[in-house]
Amino acid sequence: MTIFDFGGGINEINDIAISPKEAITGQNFELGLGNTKFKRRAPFDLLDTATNSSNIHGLHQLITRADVKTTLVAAGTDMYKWDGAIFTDVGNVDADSEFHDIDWDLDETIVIVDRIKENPVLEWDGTTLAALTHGIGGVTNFYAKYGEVMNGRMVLANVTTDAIENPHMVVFSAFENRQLYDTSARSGDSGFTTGLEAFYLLSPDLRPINGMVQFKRSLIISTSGREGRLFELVGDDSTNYRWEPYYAGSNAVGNDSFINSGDDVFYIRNGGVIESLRATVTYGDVGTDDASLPVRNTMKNNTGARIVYDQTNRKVLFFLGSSVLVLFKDLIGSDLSPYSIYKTAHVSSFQTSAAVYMELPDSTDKTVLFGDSLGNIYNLNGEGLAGDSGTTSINAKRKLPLQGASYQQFLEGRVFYRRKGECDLNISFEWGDEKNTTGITIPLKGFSGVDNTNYWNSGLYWRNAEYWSEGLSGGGIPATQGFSAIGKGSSVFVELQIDTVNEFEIDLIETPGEAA
Amino acid sequence: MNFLGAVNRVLVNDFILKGDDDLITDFNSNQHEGTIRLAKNAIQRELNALAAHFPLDYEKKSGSITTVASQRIYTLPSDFIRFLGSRPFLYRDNDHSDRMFEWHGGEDQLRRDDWKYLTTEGEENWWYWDQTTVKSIGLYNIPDTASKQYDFDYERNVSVSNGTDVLPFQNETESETFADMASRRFTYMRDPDRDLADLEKDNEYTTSFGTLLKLMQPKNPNNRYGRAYRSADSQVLNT
Repeated sequence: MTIFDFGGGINEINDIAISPKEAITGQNFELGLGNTKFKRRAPFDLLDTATNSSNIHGLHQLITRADVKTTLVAAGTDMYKWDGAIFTDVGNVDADSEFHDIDWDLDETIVIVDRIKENPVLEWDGTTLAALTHGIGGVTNFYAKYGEVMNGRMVLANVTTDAIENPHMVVFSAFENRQLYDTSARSGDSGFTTGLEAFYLLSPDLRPINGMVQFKRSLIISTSGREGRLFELVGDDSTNYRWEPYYAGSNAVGNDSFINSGDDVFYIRNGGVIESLRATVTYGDVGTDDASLPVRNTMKNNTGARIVYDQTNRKVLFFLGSSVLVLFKDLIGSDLSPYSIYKTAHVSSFQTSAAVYMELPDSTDKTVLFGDSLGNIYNLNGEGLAGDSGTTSINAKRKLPLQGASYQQFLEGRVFYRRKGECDLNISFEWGDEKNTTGITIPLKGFSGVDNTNYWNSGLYWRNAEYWSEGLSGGGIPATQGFSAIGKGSSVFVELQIDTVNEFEIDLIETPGEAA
Repeated sequence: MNFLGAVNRVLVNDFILKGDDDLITDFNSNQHEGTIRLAKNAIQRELNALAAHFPLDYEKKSGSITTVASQRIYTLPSDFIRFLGSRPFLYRDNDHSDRMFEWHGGEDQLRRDDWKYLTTEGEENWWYWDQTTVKSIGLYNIPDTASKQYDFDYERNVSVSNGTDVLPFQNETESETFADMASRRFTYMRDPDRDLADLEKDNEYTTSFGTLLKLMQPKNPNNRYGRAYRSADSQVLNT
């Protein structure tokens, strides 16, 4: 007897010697602390469409101390203020930019940088979108890829002044003044007297900076290239700030590959490996720091992703282009893979130039918003009843590890599920030795309607609406259905698949075979 | 009860259909494909065995042939298994006023008794079994007159293959009991730990078999004829 439940995620390491709770491939299933069920992910909801129906490449939010919230949406060449229903054009931007924002709460503004430095650094005060005042003599346009606020200063990394590229430069604003920078005075300059002056630092290995992130009490920069490294900011003021080596051999790739996930920083290094910064600095480049071990095939040779940390649902989301790799933080440290992959048949295909964890414009609920190339803005954690964007069913799959089979005439089993929404559970069996595939379809019942079972039936015993039958209020009633699949062989791969707009919940599947 | 109903009864009896499982509505359901196939085989095998051993009332059917001048061989109905009775005959003419029996010894004897039997035409008085690929008979003499009808009774094919095929029993009680017999065969076929050879020693199987035979009896057996022949209830009623 083998019982399959579904507490683990995708594990590509091995298709035999992994837990039967894991999946060797799969998509669109949800994981979580204590969860052992096969459930689909939430659908994403279409929230709105930008007026110009152009590519969404920036989503920003300013919340003042008085809780006045404004949300900006970069779509094509326009930057809109968006209240959840109405788009108001507040300025023009470069259509190719990939914007990110940094809160400067001291003056209740946000500063907006561009990962590809096509658009000068912007700031938004809730009313006006303008180029950031920088105070650098002789410079008109000031560009920056990365920004953080650290020790009372705005820190901008990988900068360009007009046409002069300084990818290895980090500029620090004057203390508590986001609008004053200096690209000629290095930290420790002999002219500094107060320690509050603006200054700059170069990456110690003079390589371009491809990431800047705060981790614990430190500000970390990453340099790119074949031998990219990490450096940590140390010092107290403009007279002695400096970079010190943090980790050599990080080799981070991409423009946007660092994410702080609360207790750790994840980044993607060459080869497509997702590294844990905490483990890296503790142990070095060993298996322990490789957070992507279970999904090495999926991530192989990945050159960067758009990464979002959904703090509400404790997921790290890697937007890979046509799918989203999801790391469920609650499963880190367990014996089970913490990964699922979100895919969609919807035209948006999860291809996005902007994905951000932020509040919904019209509520205080925090969620993950992302845009597509047609100006549509979606809530990844949607509640729609008609699938992705209200139009497209969600195809959830789990392929179970190899299990032993027999040469009996067929394979019998039983599905234990909850009555949620009607849908068909398709199970395919790939038989060893016989080299053929057979399939079955089990119609999972919903929670409404009359229950015409073989035993208790309306009008015969327990009458409808009174006991077992009509309504089954609230759903989630435990139910079982059997199956007997034809086929035989020394072993069998079993894949579960449900393509539906409805919610479903499968507790476990029981088969007489033994795990291989 | 039709074949589909019998398969459902077998699957319910053996706890294949339980919980949220619905009764199957056709044989195309792949959810229970493995057990459906086995249940069909169990029922067909039981039915074939029963039909082979006992003349079921349901098997009796009437047919006819009509003579064609100078035609020796006549094909019997497609569901023809064998003639009814131990010394079968055909009714001559529409009013059944006379009978035509088999040539004693069949064709093998006939060819020795009249070596011109393949060409001799005249008044047909006997039939003989024609050994070929379909069930057919030859007439002797070869009819010289057309359009004469001969009726006969025969045991028809009662095998079931489609879900809508009706089991060859006269009432639901007999059908249910037969399905219960088939259920036990299904149990032995499905369970690899059971030896199918033990089926006829299975109490459930033999009880259902005995019950079916008693149900099919047109009248009560003699109540003095052996205690074991009557059910416990009958014994109580008859003492």
